[in-house]
Amino acid sequence: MEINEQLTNKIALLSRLQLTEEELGSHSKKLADIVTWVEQLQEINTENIEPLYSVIEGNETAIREDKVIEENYQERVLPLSSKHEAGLYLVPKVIE
Amino acid sequence: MHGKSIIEINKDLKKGAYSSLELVSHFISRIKKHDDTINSIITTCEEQAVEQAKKIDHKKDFNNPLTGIPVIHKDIICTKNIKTTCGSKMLDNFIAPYESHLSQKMQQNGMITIAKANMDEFAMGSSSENSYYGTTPNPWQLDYVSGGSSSGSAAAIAAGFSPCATGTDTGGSIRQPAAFCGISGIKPTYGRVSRYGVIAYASSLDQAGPMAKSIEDLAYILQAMSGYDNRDSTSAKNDVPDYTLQLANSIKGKKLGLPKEFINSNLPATASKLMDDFISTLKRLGADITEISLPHTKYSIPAYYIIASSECSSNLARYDGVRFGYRAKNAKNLEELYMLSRGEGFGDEVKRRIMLGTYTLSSGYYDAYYLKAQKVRRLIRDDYKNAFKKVDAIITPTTPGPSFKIGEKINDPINMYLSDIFTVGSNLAGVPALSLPIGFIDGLPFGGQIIGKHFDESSILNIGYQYQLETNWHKEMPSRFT
Repeated sequence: MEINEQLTNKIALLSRLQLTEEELGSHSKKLADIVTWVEQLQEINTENIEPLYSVIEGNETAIREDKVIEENYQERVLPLSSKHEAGLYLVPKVIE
Repeated sequence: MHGKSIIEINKDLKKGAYSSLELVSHFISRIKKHDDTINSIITTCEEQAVEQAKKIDHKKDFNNPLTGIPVIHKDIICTKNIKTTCGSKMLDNFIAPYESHLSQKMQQNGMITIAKANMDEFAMGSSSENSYYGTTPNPWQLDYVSGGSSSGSAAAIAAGFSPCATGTDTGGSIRQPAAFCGISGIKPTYGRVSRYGVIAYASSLDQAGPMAKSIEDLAYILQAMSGYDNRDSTSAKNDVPDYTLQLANSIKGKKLGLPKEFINSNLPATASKLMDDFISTLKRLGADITEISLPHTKYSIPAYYIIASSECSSNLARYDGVRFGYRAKNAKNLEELYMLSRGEGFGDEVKRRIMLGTYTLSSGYYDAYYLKAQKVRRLIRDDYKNAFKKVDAIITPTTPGPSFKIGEKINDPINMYLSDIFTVGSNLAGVPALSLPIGFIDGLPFGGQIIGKHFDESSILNIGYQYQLETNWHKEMPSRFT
């Protein structure tokens, strides 16, 4: 599907990004260019080629015992939020 | 004190030529005096640095050559109780509540964090122009870029603000700015250095590494940064060899591959000439140069952008305005809080990559883009595997040319992406690669790249070190900062 402002708007919504009118126009054009450019990958025959999601494929990833190694960080972590109270994060009302 | 290598500084500290406190104060005062011109630093950590230096001076134990050595961390590395912005408005108020594995290990070796370096926002960029904190002009010529994304780290070393720094490299972000600023830098094998506490961009490609003036310095620092960490599930259990032990070995008989795709890539004549000199020096040292082929090179950039953007769209979903980071004011409901916080907190390039990744991962497009790119990634990895059956290391330029002018490519993302053509392959394949200065083009530094086999950092450091014994490019400093 061709990337136009309507589709860009939908992608921005899915990405939870508020765009200004101006941003919408400029991103839409650049995204369309980039998607057209990456289309060149279709030139390569990848039949019977397995995707390589990680280069450590085949090597054993480290496994550790399922033991709690972290302490309770609430006191350090909660103040990073600009709105918190009584050990809870505050957000706008979600239930009417 | 600036311009000296780690070993030279260590000798001075041992004989008491100056104290660790004097050393740290020297570099911090240089930052204060000169950083206005290159904007390489976001935060200076004077208080903590002075405190640590005093402790070191009290102990006077300089047997570990890294003890007392100042370091600047790229601002993507979480440093406890120190602001860690990742070059973004989103994290402008973020004070890391914990220390990254790599910076903790460096601290345990006695290294002193003196500052946090500027960078492209969330490590997305090749020119430093995407930083919320402004562009980092190139210390050699101020109307040119320092490269990216580890722009501040590279520029700060070139300007003599620190003997060394850390960087991260997802598609060339250590090597390209190192090349543009005339310093040395290595992207280790994927898994060599723990990613714990390194803010995520594209997790299957991200790898942190050291940047310094010389390869010898890199070997000492990489030693301290590397090693298994159970907090990063992709961290490698492989033993960490002593990287400094092999440096002095002769490279006589080493087989070095020259990819024909890179030679035929329309390098400007001035760059080709420097590559010829680089190769003839290596030949003179006894290396055996053969032509090899990495046939899928052309496709590495589009494959990289699909994979990196897909991973970033998922990684950056954590910035919700609720738990940490920028929070938009006046949001009427939760949906708006997400949309506005992210819309106002992220810059253009970050938004573009999140959207590209959202698109390439979306139902109906997943197979055509994301899955296709991962298949191409296997072909690229296999190219490297096959090449390494014939050679010990691969030699290329780091970039297609020297630094470009500020503003030259910022409105042309594809052209900007193409400046990573020689570097992204190593990230997709997970192999280690380093960049080192091999000369100048019209007063701007130019870098050569040495790519190695998985977990064979020792060989590429050895080759680079031997080259630097024969040349003085890595000792040059921009006259403005001598």
